[in-house]
Amino acid sequence: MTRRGLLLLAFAPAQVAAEVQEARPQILRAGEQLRGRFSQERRLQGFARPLRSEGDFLLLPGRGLIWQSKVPFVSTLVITEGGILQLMDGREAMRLPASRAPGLGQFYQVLAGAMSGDPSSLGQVFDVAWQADAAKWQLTLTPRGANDQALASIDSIIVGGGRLVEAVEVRRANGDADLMAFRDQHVGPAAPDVAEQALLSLLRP
Amino acid sequence: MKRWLAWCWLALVLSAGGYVVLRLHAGVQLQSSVLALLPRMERDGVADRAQQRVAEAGARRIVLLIGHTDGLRARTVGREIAAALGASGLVHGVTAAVDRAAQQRMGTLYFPHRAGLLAEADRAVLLAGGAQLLVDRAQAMLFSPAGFGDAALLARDPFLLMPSFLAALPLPQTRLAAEDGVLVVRDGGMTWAFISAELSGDGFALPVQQAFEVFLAQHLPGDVEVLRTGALFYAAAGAKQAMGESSTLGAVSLLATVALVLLVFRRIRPILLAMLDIGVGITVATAFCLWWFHELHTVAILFGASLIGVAVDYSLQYFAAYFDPLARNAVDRLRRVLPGIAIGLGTTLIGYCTLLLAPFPGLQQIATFSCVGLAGSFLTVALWYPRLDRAGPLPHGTRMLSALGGHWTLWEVPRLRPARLALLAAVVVATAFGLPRLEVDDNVQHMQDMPPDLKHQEAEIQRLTGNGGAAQFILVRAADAEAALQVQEALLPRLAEVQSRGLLAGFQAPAQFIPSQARQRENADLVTRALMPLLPSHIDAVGLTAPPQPAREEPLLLTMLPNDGPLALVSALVLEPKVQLVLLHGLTDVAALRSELAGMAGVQIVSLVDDWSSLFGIYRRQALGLLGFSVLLMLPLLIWRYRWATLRVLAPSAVAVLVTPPIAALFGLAFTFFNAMALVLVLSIGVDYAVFCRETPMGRRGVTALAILLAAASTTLSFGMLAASQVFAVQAFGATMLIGISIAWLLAPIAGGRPE
Repeated sequence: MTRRGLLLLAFAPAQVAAEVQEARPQILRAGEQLRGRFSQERRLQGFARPLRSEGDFLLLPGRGLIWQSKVPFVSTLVITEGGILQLMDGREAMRLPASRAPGLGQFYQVLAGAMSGDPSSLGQVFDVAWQADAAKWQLTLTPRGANDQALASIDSIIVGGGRLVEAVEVRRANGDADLMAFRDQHVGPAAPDVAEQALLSLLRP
Repeated sequence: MKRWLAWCWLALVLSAGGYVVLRLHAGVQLQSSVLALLPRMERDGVADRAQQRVAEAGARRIVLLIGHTDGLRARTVGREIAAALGASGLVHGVTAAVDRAAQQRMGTLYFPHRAGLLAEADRAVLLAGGAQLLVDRAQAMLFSPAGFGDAALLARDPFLLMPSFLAALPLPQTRLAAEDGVLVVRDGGMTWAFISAELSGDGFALPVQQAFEVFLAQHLPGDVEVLRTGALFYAAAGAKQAMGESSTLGAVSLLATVALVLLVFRRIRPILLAMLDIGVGITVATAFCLWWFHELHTVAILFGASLIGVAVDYSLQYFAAYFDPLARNAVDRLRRVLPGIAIGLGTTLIGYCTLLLAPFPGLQQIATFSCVGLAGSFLTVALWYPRLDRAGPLPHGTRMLSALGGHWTLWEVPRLRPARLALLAAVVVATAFGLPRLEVDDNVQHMQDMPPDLKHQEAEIQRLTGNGGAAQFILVRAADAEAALQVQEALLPRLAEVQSRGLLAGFQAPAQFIPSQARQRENADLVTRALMPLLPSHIDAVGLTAPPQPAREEPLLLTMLPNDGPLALVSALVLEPKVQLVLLHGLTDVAALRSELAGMAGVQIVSLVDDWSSLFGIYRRQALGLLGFSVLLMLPLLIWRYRWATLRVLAPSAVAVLVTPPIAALFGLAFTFFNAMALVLVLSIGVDYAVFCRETPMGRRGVTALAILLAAASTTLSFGMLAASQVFAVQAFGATMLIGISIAWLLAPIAGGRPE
């Protein structure tokens, strides 16, 4: 409870603003969306080289995340509370309902929470350390207990950025690391196009 | 001699009373399920066992959804109630949280045998030559955000076929998600926490129902919404209703009968005697049934309450004789009515005995209850009334009797011929109009009384969890386990086809969880042939350097299935290795499935609802057979007594039996098994009235008219009450009795005339 309190304190805009003019993330609200481009690098043990990919993403807080890879190949990943869906060439390639892979589902919720700059979803499962100067901020998330399979393998998650989240780094206990960088980001009222709405509805339970 | 018999009867009645008190004190088991009234089926031992297993599992399962707009509150209360339930001893096997350990065990079970395991969709892709698609998918998954899989997984399962297989397993509760370790489903602003459990006791037993009610009252906070389903709740509602109804209906019928008797006789004595008579009848009947059956069904109690209406007929015959100036004392009165009520008892017992022939446990209870009760009432009238009754004839009835004599003149005086014809024409017209509307209804779901509120909750739970109670399944029988799994593998594509037509919501088969060994070999060959050539380029493309770790060769076997966790369901579907079940969810068209499966050996569709419905149909026809049979059984007695006049004695009740169903159809009542059973009683009671009339000499006509009027009035009062019951079966019975008895009474004097 105290840690969560500290976290909330850290994010309390009025108090922070009164002391130093620190950068802080803009929190996406329901009814808003975040569009942008991503580049990802997975540095995995037992692989000759990092796995790099690039594409576009759309985040609708509370509704889901659509991750469209363009390079090295085209594929779409849809993540909602209901689970995870992978499409290739518009065809369903893999579907994981949240009930079947609860740890994984929770992990993606953490990811979506981090990307939307919303700390409230993170404080329950992570210890949070906060660093900031006038232009940049950085958040280090450490899993509290090993009670979640998917999170147990995680060493730490480092989220950083300015006005918006610009980078997420997931470090795993086995030495693997995933680096995600976001650019060309735009916040606006939620306006998924028809195709995107269709994608999100595919995972409605 | 007579005196000695009366004392014997007293001793018997007293000991019966003592026995009932003892049993009630020890706590009587009350049955309330209509299904408990159904016969044990004898057609097919294996199918029965399978059916019983499914039905029992269903009867023991309860599901609660705890809802709140605040997700945290819903989860907290859900967790608390699940814990309290587990600790209460009322249930076992509480499922409320995601069992991580069980999920891990599932992974541990499957992973070593991955060589032969393929998701159905992946197998189809490979068979269609789409191996590259699976390679692309594996790479896409590997590249996906904060990706899926690492070197350790890829070295063992380079094409990520296992996650695909596990995700495709048709485990239940697919709409439920884990939040904070609690299974929840979110719906329009509400969060529902899911709790399911198996009752430790019998859900149809009253004490279990009460204990559960107390538990919920104690543990449910006021701020949450609750949806519940399970046979327990239906049974509890049914028992409560039946108990409530039987006490109200019984009380109203008793009060009305008392008022009627008081009004007619203006004396308290007939009331006291009638109450004694009825009390003795019910006491000996209850005692006998408790001793013989060890338990009582609520329907038997309901009919027991109505027995009052019939048992009092004998007393009424006797009381009506108070107005007979020639019957100076009790012995005289008894002598005059005894032949009538003895023959009446004989025909009625024959009618009830045919009920005994129907192989329905509940009906046997009702029949036994009625036979013993009526015999007890008869003995009380015959043995005790002359000793207890010192009254002389009553003088005030002359005008009433002569008025009631009109009931006879209606059928005799030539002047009233037009009235008779009008009456008959009315009956004929009503029958003619009702006949086209007459519909037969055997659907067991209509018979089992389901409170709409509980039905709604069940539908909501089904909608929210996507998890309906399966009442239908396919029984698979083969030479051994392997063959049974292979039969299912031939069956599954056909089921998928029916599902794609929207006629089936889902299905679960053991073979989906444990493929046959042949299929596992096939899968392994398929992967080796179609995918393995792509392995080097795949490994190269992703740059995997960790050495591949091939899977073990041994196949996964049915015997390796665990009995707990998510896979417990599958072991429950395996009755024995060569006899397995495929559960069907939401099957809307049995006929379509039947034609889809036509020609497949070793599979049999078993649908509880349809089977029970067809049984109700069989027994409805049987009941009609019993009706004819009971006429045959009465014939020797009637012919011995009445010779050719037997036809006149049978005519009133025969007409009543024939015209009642169409007339009931005019009121929108369908013809069910229960109506057919009621007709059996209409026949026997109707014959009683006719016999009473037939046994009446010219001078006593008014007396008998009064007696049968009172008898019909009290019978319709009690059975007419049943027509007001909310329990469908009881209502069907009551309405038929109401109409049938009225007609049989009206026509009874047709039997008149003095026997030679």
